[in-house]
Amino acid sequence: MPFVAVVAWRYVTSNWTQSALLIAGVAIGVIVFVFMTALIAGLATFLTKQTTGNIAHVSLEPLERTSRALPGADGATQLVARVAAIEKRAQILDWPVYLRIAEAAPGVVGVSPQINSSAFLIKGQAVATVAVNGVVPDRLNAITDIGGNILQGEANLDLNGLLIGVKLASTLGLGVGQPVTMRSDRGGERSLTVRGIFKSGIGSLDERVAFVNIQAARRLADLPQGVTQIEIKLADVNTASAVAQTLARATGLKATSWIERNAQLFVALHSQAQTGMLIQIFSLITIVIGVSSALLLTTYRRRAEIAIMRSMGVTKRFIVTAFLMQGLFIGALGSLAGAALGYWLCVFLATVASRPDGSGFPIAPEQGGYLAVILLTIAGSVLAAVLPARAAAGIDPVAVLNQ
Amino acid sequence: MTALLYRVRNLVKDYGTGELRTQVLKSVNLDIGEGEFIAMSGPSGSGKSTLLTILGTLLSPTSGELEMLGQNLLSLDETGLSKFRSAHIGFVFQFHHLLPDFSAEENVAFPAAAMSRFGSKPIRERAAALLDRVGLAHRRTFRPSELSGGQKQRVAIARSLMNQPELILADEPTGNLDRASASQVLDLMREINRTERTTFVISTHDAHVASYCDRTITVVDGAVS
Repeated sequence: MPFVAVVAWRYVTSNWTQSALLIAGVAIGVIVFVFMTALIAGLATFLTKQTTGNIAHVSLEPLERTSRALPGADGATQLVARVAAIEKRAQILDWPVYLRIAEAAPGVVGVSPQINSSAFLIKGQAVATVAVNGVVPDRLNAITDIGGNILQGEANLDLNGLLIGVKLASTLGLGVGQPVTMRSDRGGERSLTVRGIFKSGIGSLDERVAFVNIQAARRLADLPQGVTQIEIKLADVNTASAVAQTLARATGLKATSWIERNAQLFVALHSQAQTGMLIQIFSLITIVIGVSSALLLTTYRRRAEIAIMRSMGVTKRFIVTAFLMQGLFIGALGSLAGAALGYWLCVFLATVASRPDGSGFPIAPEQGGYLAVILLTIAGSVLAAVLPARAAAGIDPVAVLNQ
Repeated sequence: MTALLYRVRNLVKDYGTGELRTQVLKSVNLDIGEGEFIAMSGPSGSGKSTLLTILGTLLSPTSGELEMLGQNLLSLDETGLSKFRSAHIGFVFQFHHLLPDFSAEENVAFPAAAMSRFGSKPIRERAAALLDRVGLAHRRTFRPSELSGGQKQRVAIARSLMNQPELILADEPTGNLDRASASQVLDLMREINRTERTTFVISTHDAHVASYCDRTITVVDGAVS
């Protein structure tokens, strides 16, 4: 080991109480950094999982038809109005073909062709507006795990079967086995029987979505052939944009990823990350100021020693290096201790607050940014030592020795 | 006549500027020969300490010429002076000024180790030999706080010898010691002077110290006689 490192290490270890306090200060700053990094990463994962858990990751829908304007004889501008009411119904006619294409796409774990529409659910005098999801019974759980969340009854979607959420059931006073009338927005009407009541935990789903057999939905929506959309679930939600692009090219349909539909989530995650970064920056600044002021005090305390070293012919460079190395040692010890304690704290919080259903304290101990915080802290501590090192090298040995 | 080690000509040192300017050293001329053992006496405030510090290259003069071992010292920059000082000049101070966090042996080795590596065997061996020479082989691992005043000063002398300098400047080296310890320290310096031909310039108030020396330089009111 170079002698200058021996001197720096001796100075760190000669007064353990002071050094331990300083190292503890650095470690606390590092713990804050690690905790914030792990918490923000954990929250992002948690929110993404919450958002994507029960929705389609990619939806295939028919392309919107746009009327084409033929150019006028003399290049005159023409006004073309789109009147939805007289256009053909938007539907995917060759859906079995697209179903196979979607199922063959990499990373796809579930595909559900659906006929979705709006309807009234009528029970005596009580009426509720519902979004009707007409699904293939086998694929009921492909997108949202309705079968696993049945509270009463069973997930049976026969031709007259109806599955509703617990809030909707309560609004209409419906129980399992009771008949109810569904009147679609296209005039179709059908008597259905409540087969199951589910509780997904998602307000909109529990309050205003009704699942029916796709054949029942076909008649209610007056759609003899096609489906309104094909919903797709992926193993990795982060690949949604890429898969959507691939499927759009392969099918010619409009493919929308969950990311496009949840832009506000990304705005929230971004703001959250920025807030976290501010806290991280301030914790690093605190470390730098703490190390710098402590080393400045050391410089003052060791003035006589520095003067005697200078009288021995020790160069200013040696003294500067010795102080920078003190910063390095303090930064290294503080950041390693802080990273270890920060990891332990995150694991502790994640374990203590975890619940059997997987929810709990949304923290990701493995994403504490350990390498970054260790490197930043060491660099910051060395930087913090620059001012004290310069002050030490600037000490006039004559003035000190004459005192 | 011994060979010339140090040559000082027309050395002037002023402190302050304008009306507050004070001339501490007034055109000092001095020749120091190799192997001399010199006492520098004079009342407090006469400029002895300033002269000693300038001879030791820790302080630069206002004007004049300084030449040691044929080297014009005023032509060297700060790093050059540090290196020159490290190689050719040793210091012994009244208050020993040992480094409190280092053992006696580490203190002795410091001037050489700072220029290379402390772990190197020749440096450790020389430090141990020097401690043995000043009669403190059994205190090698002791910290300064565990040594007596006389022992500390002997460690400081051993340290000043570490880089085998031609000149040792001692500022009141016995000023803080009792008579017995003072005699021990002076005997040691004289012995080193005789055996190694190391030149000593010892600043002192004490006639007892002067009695050990070949000659005495007296500094009065900024001038040498």
